[in-house]
Amino acid sequence: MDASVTDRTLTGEDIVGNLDEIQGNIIKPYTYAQQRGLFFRIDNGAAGRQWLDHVSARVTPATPWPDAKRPQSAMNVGISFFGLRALELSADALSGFPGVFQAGAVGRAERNGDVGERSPDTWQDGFGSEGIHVAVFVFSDDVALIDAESDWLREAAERVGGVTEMAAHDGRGFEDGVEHFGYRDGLTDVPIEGTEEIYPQTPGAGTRQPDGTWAPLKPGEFLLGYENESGSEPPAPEPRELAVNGTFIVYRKIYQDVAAFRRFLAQAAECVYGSSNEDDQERMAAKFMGRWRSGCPLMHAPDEDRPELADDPDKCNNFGYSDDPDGMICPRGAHIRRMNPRDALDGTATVVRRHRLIRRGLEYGPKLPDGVLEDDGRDRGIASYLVCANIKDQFEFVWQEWVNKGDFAGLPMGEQDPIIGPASAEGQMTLPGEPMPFLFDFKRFITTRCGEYFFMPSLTALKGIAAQKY
Amino acid sequence: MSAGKAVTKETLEVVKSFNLEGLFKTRGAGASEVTLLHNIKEGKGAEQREWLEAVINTDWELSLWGSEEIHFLRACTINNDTQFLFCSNFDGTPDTYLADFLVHSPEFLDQVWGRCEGYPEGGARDFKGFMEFIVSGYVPCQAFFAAYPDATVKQVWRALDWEKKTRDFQRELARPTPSRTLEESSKQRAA
Ligand code: HEM
Repeated sequence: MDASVTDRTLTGEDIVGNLDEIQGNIIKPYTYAQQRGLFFRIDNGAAGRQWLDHVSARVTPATPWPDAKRPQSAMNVGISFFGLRALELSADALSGFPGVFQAGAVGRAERNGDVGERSPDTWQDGFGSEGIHVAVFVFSDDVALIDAESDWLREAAERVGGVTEMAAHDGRGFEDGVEHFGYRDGLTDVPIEGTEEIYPQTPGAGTRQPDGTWAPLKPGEFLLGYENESGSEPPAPEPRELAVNGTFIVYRKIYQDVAAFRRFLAQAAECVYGSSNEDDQERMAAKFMGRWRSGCPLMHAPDEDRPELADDPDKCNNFGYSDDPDGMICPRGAHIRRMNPRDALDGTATVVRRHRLIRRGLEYGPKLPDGVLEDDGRDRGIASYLVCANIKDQFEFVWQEWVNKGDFAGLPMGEQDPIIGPASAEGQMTLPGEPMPFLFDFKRFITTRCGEYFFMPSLTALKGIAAQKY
Repeated sequence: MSAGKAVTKETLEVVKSFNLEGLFKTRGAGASEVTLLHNIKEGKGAEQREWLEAVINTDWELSLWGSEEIHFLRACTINNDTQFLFCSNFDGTPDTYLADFLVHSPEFLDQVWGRCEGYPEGGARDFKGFMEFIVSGYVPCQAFFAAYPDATVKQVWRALDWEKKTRDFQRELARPTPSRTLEESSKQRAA
């Protein structure tokens, strides 16, 4: 990295020059079919740093590669606050990290509504404590290569001692692009200013402009040291070298109760349409998501599915909600309208572009065979991370305000995300224009199994942490 | 609280003579404001703060301040406990609001302002003295915003109650009727 750039706020113009510093899979998703997240605890700072130094040499930067030259595997690293502490970062450096990150997923559980059945006490593999220190994500199309990389990591850990593997979570790309609940996923992404050339995206990604076009997000929403959508920089630790080109990720392993979802879908179709035939269930599923299960957006196909639109780059993502203020076409509480309200909140105090998330998710566990309505007891769900420069304004805001409440969209306070909401007693969904325009008694379809906040440093910072430079 | 007393014409007259309506801002039936700042008697600041802290969430607070006219009320000691800031948003006009208080709960008013300089010896039962004291702490308010200026406290409560009842009714309506339970309909389809 050019040392001179570190003293000023970077902008989109600086990104291309910094790609070799930024970790891969942030700006642009990998397309590997397999992923493994390995989670380690560090009991000895010096040994941990030595191990991290080995690992940092293998970390994959964001530098683009031509298709033919795609490496066979990739590796990326995140460190929790407790990990930074265990690696003996200086007290000054530690105290500069945002409070929310310092508290970690457990410390923030109450604020995030991770209580009761969702509480960290129920999390697995040592998550739910302060014992998850370093996350290493390994990607490849070939599981054998992932195994080899994992062995390399483990052997290196054994050599230094004092580094213990806590868990390994396997994930794979969605089969045919379809996730467990039966929806096509991975259709949208968030474009970052300055990356248009290396990662062109479809219209509809980004932020709607007054002239109807879509603008990419300022890099500071996803990278430390860069200008963000408030015209400032995201809160970051000192020294600057530690922060610049780094970011935060929110890791969540989430169980999906597919049988419960399918049963509820049928019941909901009964309640709303008076029938649970396949068409009505599909219609119901589309209202929950804001897209038909094919991926076709409701806003372009209000009455029936047009699967071809999911593959039409000019249609798949190119829509807003301002023509549908009441949610007659896409309910105001539908998953994608909540998670990215696009232009729906224009004119309110909420600035949507300050609350965006990059999703880097894969699924795990076998698919529940079509038509099965009883749980088979197998574990399945998503093992994903969300990227954001400001955990509080992005992940936590979305989770607390948009997933768990309805108020922001003018819905009843207790109305929650139909797919990922906590389904508390007041849970309901408003469906204007449908034969029965409201639906109650939502069930909880997802359960967090593991969660933690990780700092994903630049390559320079990673080596610096390993050298106890900060 | 000295129960059962009606606001007498005289009280209202006394209060009205101070022309509070001209002083404080009103945006609608459900939105008037009063902002008052008084110096606290020397040595009484901590006591005032502690009394305020203790009164929160007591029955007393609920029965007195929680009259069915007050939307929001803030009472704070400021500037190192040397001054007492009182801000209230309520229904109706400042005249009736204060007259009601004067008649129903003079003891409470004594507790609220009794530690302030210039508070009348006779307390809130000395209507005129009390009003003079109140006006001496008048803070002009330049901007006062109300999102629902015509909704009174009682109307807000009523609307919330309606919302709950409507939701209960909706829930009843949306419940799958016995003939429409899942098992039934799958049987029907199979038949
Ligand atoms: C198992 C749980 C989940 C499932 C099944 C799920 C499913 C989906 C699907 C099918 C889409 C539409 C496809 C696309 O836009 O690429 C989507 C979009 C999205 N989801 Fe989720 N999701 C889950 C959890 C989450 C969580 C936990 C978050 C964040 C807190 C989230 C945030 C988003 C966002 C930001 C979008 C893009 C919306 C847009 O830009 O239009 N999702 N999700």
